[in-house]
Amino acid sequence: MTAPLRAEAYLAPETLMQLAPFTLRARMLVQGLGSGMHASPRQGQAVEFSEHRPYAPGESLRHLDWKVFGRRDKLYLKRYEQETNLDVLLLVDASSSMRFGSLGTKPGWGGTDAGREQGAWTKFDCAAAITVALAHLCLTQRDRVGLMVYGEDVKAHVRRSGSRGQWRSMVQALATVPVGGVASPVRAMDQAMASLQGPSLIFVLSDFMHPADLLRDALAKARFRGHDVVLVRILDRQEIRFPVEGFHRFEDMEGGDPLEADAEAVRVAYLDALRAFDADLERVARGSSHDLVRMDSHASVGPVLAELLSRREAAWRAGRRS
Amino acid sequence: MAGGEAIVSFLVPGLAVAAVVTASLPWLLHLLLRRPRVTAWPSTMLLQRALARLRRRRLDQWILLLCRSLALLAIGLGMAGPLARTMTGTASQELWIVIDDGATGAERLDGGGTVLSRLQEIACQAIDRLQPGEPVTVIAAGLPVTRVLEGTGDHDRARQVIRAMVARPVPTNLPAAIEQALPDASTLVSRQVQVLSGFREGALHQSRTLDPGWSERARRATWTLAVPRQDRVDDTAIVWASLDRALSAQGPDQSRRLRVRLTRHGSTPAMGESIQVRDTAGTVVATAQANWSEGSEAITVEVSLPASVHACMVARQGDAQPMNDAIAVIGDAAQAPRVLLVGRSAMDGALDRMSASDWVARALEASNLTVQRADPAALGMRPQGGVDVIVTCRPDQLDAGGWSWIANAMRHGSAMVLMPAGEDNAWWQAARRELEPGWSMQASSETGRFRLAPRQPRSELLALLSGELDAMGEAVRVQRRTLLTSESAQTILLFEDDQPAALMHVPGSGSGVLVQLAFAPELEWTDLPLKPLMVPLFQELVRSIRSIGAAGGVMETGVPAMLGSGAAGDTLVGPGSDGTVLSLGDRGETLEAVERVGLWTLRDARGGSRDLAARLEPAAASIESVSGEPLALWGATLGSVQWMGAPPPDAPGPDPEPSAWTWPLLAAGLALLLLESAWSRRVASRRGQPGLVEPA
Repeated sequence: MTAPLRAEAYLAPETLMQLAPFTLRARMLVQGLGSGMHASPRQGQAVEFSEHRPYAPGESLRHLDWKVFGRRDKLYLKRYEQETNLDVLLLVDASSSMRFGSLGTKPGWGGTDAGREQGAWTKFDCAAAITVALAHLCLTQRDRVGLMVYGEDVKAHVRRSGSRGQWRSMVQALATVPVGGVASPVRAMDQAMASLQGPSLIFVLSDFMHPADLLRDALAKARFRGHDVVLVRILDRQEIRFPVEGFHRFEDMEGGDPLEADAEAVRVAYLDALRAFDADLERVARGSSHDLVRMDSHASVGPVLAELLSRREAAWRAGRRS
Repeated sequence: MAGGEAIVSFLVPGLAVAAVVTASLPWLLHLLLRRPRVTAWPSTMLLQRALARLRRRRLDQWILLLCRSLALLAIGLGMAGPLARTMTGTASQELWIVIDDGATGAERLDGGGTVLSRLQEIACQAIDRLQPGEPVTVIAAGLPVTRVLEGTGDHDRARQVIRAMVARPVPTNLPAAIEQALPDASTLVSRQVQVLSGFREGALHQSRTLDPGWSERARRATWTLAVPRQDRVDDTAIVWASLDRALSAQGPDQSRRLRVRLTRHGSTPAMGESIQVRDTAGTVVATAQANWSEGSEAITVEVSLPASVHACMVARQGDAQPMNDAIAVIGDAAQAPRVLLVGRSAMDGALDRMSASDWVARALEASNLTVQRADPAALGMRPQGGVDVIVTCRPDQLDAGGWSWIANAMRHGSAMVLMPAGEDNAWWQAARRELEPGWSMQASSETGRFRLAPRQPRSELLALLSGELDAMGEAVRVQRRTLLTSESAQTILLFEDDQPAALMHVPGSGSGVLVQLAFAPELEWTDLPLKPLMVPLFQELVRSIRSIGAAGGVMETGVPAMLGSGAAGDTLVGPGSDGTVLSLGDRGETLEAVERVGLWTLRDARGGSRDLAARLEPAAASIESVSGEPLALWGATLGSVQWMGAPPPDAPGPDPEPSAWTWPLLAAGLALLLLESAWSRRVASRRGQPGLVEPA
């Protein structure tokens, strides 16, 4: 008999505090059904004033700004920007490579399949923590959020919803989904986009241990469809700094060919390769005007997300002013 | 392996080992760490890319590592002083022991035993340190230098051979022994040579220097020398003794005078010591007291001996060096001298036509001398044997064979009286060439009226005639003479005008004696044959020069005896009862060296015998300490010399000169370092500065 899920154990209070000042903003205009805080491309039915424009003969006088006509004797029509809710989809990589972790389990963390098995704070645990935090943030600002956990195929799918039980469902899925096998991010993104009806904000949480070019088409397609994609690259600190010493046989956790190498000898070249690959990934992401966030799984989730949210909010405000 | 393969040994093996270890450490670590630790890694994609990029860099790293290792190795080995040699078989090294078994090895040590016994211990210890089967060769440095044990892996036998060695009364020739121990091109294993000697003066007396030309071969071996003995010990030696000739072999109750020269070093207190004289039968025939005054380092003791003693052994009480406490002495022989008269007699017997040989024969008749006559022209074809004195009256009729026979006889102790003949002295060229006389002679004789000086020189040769020589000589007239000009000869008869009438010389090439008269004893030249001087003069001349010649029959130990062709086929019987018998070859030489001091007997086929003294050269037994200089010079030839225990006092240890490989190796090391530096710069510039990815 499995122990009842303690959903609170997946969201640390300090993370909540760190994210409290922020709102999650999408870069694109949102065609939501409900009333929310995101700008909608449909104007005239919302309450948020957008701009004035000269009146053209034949137009309805419903939105004529009489106060301006009284002061300046000129006819201007008021334009309004509709604010609506945001659809957010969280795509989480649950392939074998996400089982890697070199840090001990964090105290108070609810745990995932990968973390429990490894007895460590794995990259998947880190992805789960970010997912849970983002989902909570979205639901707090009355956005709809969904979850898709993928490997070679979709392993778990929590449909978008803004309901109260949504967050718990997502936590439940993350806590129990099996982590292993290879990842197919393109297929996952295709499936995700197929499930979305309008422009959405898509977070893809993965270590992206596959050629960056594979993502190029998927990200371009997402941009074409109006989605805003944020790639969250999660790496363990060992992967980032490669502090391994001695002669090792590196077994690929996703089943690739093992490699034997002298860690000291290969370190510089490895870090060079990592830097090059990271640059590739960023170039691919930026090429489709998407965002890339780098995450050290040993670091706290809150500051990284806070920095992301702050950056996006600043961009949103700049967009509004223009 | 028939051809052998090159190996290297080092002057400073520790440095070489350190170099090899240091250079090989990275490779050893690499090999040891080849067992990989299995590590699960999220994805090997980046590692694959890294390795792909590293492939070139790995080659660079291998080259750099190789350069560094080889540089370390080359510099380390260069500083270690490599010595090239080759190796064959399974033995890793061979030990050559040069051990001094000469006279100085007999030096007694304070704690008991001798220097040689101490050296034998050291040699056995060196053998103990060998691995089983490693060959040992032993060379005895006492003359004749002999390889007493050829390379053998039987260490027990080697120890037996070494322990069986005894100090012999022979000189030491360490350089000759070292030459035998030098490796040559066919030496295929690492050779250790231990030179074991007390390095006293006597050990280096024979030869003190090493041939610098040995240097290259010497440096292929490792040399270890025993520390020279530097302590100063008291030692007294009998360095010389002579027995005067009996006045008459048949005279009653005549005594002979033995003079013994002693030297000492160390402390020189006033003291007395006894000297004992034994005859050939071993009977003590006399004792004498040697009284040393304080500070004196040499004295001569005179001992009276019965006239019958013609040879004896003189001995004193043994001290630190027993080898120089006894000496064999030879006087004139017991039997009558055998005289060979070379000349032709006149056929008619008329006095005025009698030849010089006739007159001499007549003069010698009234004595116990045994006189044979030989035709000068036939001397070379039918050489005579067993001749003590040759009187050559017709040198002008000797052919080359005759001169050669005479020269050989002279070289081996025979004496000769030579006189001119005829007007032409053309024969003198042959005589000068063969005999090396100490004078020159005018090409032709001169005529005149010459008289012998009223006061003749007091030569030892005619000492028995003493004052009578002046009186008897005064009556002699000479009307024809040959002018002799002395170069290194002694004048024994003198003309009134100070021209020599007779000269004596001991040629440097042998122990024989040569006397030449300036005139022939025949009436055409002089009236001497008619005068009273004739008989005593020739009898005394023959006896005296025979005595000197016999006393010159002293053999040195350590070398074969050379007794001349006159002794061909005879046998030489050693002293004592050990039955040592040496056979003489066609030229009167022994095949083996004489290795015993004392009185030897030469026996001919006719039953005759003659005593010979075998002596150790006194300097060869000296146990005075040696300054370090000669051995320091050895170091320059042998290369790095290790000393057993401590460096030799006063000897600045030989400079460890770099071997022929040192500088090339050091240069190679430097070149490799430069290559490494250039290559690492190239690698660094190609690689650039690696950046770390620090997400978030």
